[in-house]
Amino acid sequence: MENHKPNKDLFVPVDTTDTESEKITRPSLSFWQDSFIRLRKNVGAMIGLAVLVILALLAIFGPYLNDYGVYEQDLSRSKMPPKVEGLGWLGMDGTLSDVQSAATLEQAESKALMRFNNQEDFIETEVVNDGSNGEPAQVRATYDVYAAKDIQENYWFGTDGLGRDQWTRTWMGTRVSLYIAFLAAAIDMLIGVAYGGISAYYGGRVDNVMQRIIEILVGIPNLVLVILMILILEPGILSITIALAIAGWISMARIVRGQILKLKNQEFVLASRTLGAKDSRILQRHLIPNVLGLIIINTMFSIPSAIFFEAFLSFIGLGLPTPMASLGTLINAGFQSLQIYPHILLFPAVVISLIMIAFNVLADGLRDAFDPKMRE
Amino acid sequence: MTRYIIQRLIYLVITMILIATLTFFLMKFLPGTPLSAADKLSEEQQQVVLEKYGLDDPVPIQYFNYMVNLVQGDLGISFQFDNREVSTIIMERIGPSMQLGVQAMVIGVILGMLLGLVSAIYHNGFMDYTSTFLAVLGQSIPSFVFAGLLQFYIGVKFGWFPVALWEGWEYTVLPTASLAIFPIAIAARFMRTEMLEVMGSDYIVTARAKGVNKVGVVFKHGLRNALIPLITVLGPLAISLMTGSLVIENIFAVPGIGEQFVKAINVNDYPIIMGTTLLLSFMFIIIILVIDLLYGVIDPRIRLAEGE
Amino acid sequence: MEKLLEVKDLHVSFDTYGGEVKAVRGVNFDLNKGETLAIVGESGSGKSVTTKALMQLIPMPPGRIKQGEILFEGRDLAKMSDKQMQKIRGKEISMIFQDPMTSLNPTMKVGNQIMEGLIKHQKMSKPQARKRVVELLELVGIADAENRMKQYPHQFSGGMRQRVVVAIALACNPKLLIADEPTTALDVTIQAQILELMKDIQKKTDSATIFITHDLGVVANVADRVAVMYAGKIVEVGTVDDIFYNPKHPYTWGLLGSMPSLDSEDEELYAIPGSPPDLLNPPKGDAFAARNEYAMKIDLEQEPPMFKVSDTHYAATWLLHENAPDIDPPAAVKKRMEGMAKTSGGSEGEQR
Repeated sequence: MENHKPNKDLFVPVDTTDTESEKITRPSLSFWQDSFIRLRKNVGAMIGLAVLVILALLAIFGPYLNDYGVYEQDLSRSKMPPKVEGLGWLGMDGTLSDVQSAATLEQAESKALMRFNNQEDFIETEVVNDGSNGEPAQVRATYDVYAAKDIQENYWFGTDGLGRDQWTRTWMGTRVSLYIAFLAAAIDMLIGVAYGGISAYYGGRVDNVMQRIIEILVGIPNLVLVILMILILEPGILSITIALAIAGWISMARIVRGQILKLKNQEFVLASRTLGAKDSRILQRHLIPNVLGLIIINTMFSIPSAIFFEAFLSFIGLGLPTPMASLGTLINAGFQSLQIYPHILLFPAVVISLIMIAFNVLADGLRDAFDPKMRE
Repeated sequence: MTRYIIQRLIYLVITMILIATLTFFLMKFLPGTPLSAADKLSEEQQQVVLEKYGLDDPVPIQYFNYMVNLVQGDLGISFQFDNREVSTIIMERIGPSMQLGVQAMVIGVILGMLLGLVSAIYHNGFMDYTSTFLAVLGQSIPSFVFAGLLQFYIGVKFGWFPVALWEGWEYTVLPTASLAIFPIAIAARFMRTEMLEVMGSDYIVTARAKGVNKVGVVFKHGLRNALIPLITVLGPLAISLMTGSLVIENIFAVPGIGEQFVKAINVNDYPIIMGTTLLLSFMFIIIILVIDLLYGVIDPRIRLAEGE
Repeated sequence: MEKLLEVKDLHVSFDTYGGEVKAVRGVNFDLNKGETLAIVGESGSGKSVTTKALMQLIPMPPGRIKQGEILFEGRDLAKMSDKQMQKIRGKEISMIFQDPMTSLNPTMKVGNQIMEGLIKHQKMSKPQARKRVVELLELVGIADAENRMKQYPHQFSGGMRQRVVVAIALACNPKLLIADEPTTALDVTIQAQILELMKDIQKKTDSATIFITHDLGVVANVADRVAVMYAGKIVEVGTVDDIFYNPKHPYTWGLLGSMPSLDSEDEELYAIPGSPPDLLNPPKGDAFAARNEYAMKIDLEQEPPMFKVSDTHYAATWLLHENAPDIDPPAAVKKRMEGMAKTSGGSEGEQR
């Protein structure tokens, strides 16, 4: 301690009363600012958002980027493989290929040619295995469909069994999915939040009656409700809308009710009430801001399940009627020729998977950003 | 506890009556009757058909008969298969559906749990990121897209397992896998979150302060507490499997109720649609009830709080 | 007196989003066998982190022991692996936690939770361990131990649970018991019971205790020596008498002044203005300077070293430097100090 020989002048009192004792050393951030910063830092969520924006743009403008119509059929051009100039290395070169095997090389070759109707001018054959090692001979035939049918314009995603352009139909189907996304969000926000909010805020008899109704609705599986609705209405976008409106808001209503009930009895609300705040003020300043994060998170999670539900209904034939395009119906059609023409299934399947992944990742990101438990 | 069960059973009965009533009256509004398929019948023939289905009685009597039959397990006669009872058709087909559902559920939950556990133990490590990424894929990609992938690659390209039909265990592999992916993903994510939360709790610190080793802390103290909340997702999972099996059975041509149901939708065979709907609702309600009761059995806090 | 524990220049940090939070910044203290040391300070002063670090119970990451030594009977705990620590935890050092409602495993029978340590450390058979559990439960004052050990924590009240936690900590006769605010979460009447129990047990077992609290009343009741912590450092350390009758650090004055007492009327509580510094960016100089009404220029520039007051009493404030002006504690604190001397019988409370 003897080595401390500070200057004598330093031993004079300083006034600290209003200098630093209450200084806040970190900038203060509101709940929303803080949440947004967290969301922006979440790489996955940002990628998800970007994917959604790109898909939405393609859904809006995609169908106009080529000259084919959604319902334009041409049986002579059915099941065309996809072809995009410059993307040949991705397999989108407008050719079909198949490997045939037989006992001898000649037999294999003729089988391979036969596979594509012996259009020898447009078929290139390649020996995979010449059969000399005791195994069956194998020959790969690659058939240039565009050249064979003398088609100049490219079908970027190929065509379906009726010769309709898959590109146009895929993006039309995406529109349906995105419409369902907005619909699900709107139903959750409007019906679910209002129902849960009213039930919790007024309490008593109102709450009692509203809760009995929910309990019964919860007992009926969503799927059953929707199937019944669609059976009495005609399958179509309207009946899916109605079905979602009936079944889609229940979980949101329960969550909002639970949260508001919890908040209603918390001290800060009681304090505000004691100070004479009106109902509308308590609702606006205390309840809504505290429930909003939860509402956003829950909405984001109900969107992918609604999209899946529509695709699922369309897949089993309860969704959009033919010839309308939904990703579900496109995928169903793809299954019918999966073994030979997998590309018909591929594009709508990739698009719906991308939409679902993007929404889920974004929802996860929002939950991490808004969940107060996550902040330190 | 008994009072609680009785209360739940009463709710169950009310809901079932409500669903049955709803289905009955909806059926009355439906455009299709057994006659619409064969309009060219004479008056007499029409009368015979109507009598056969009991459609000539006044509606209240029809309703009464319908409900009485229902209680006896009689779901009516199929429109598409002559003289075949819906209940018989369903009973014939329930086996494969059940097998598929149970296989997918058991495999899904066990694999998912392990994946989630690994994630939680190696929190923020490579294994965690990988399994979280896989879980997001499994949760997002629709089961019918997975079914397509499996059918094309494993079934057609590699030929490891049969692509369709139901003639032995190897036929169950691809449909079970397609169905199990969603439960795997959900169980993994849920398990991870729960396990992380449990591992951060005070009693884990107490256990560590006692000198319990890492394995003991994770399995003896962590796992059981993380498993209890996992029971809550079993119900929604079972329901998602019921929904999923409708498409999966179709894709893999499994002779189950789901496949029959979709066929019935496409040919407007209302008795089968209604019968299956009622069966699904019934199973749904029972599953929810069983899970609520199970929760009480496993969590001592609930079990004993009731007993005291 | 034989030294049981010696903590030298301990630094503990947490790596967070915002940067490195220096929760403990160079703590030194020692503890003799059978002695009770109280660590006092407000929330966030680093007292819990210090003791958790002794047992390597801080979550790592984000936490880490940056530097320093923790010598327990000559062995450095800071350098031990988790495997080695497992043999020390529960056996030689054990811990009682703050909240009995959350510190017991809800899905495990109480008896099994106590038995775990016995089976692991004492290599007891199950029946042996069961017998010892009954003894322990009786020791901590739980009647009907045979039946109670088969119950789950939720069947116990808060005070009873804390007794169970104490039983778990005592199971293997530890040489050092760390009690991290063991009474904070309990009702006042239950607090007194638990304190009595702990004093009683200490008499019986003769284990050394580190008692963390922010309640000075508790300190006077149980401790031999007191360490006052502020912003991750020990600012004053001494015997109970040193701290209560002759405090030297203005922060200790503040703590004493803010403690209400029953004996004098119309007294004003002395509140410490402001709030503790942000340990993400600890201030230059004395961390307490900003809240110190006696602050001097030097407080804003240099950290004060530990000044020796007596053989047992040290304080880290520039006010003890020979060049510093003579400053008396505020009147309210002085009155409190005198009151304290009166209530505790006066005989041992002679003022230095």
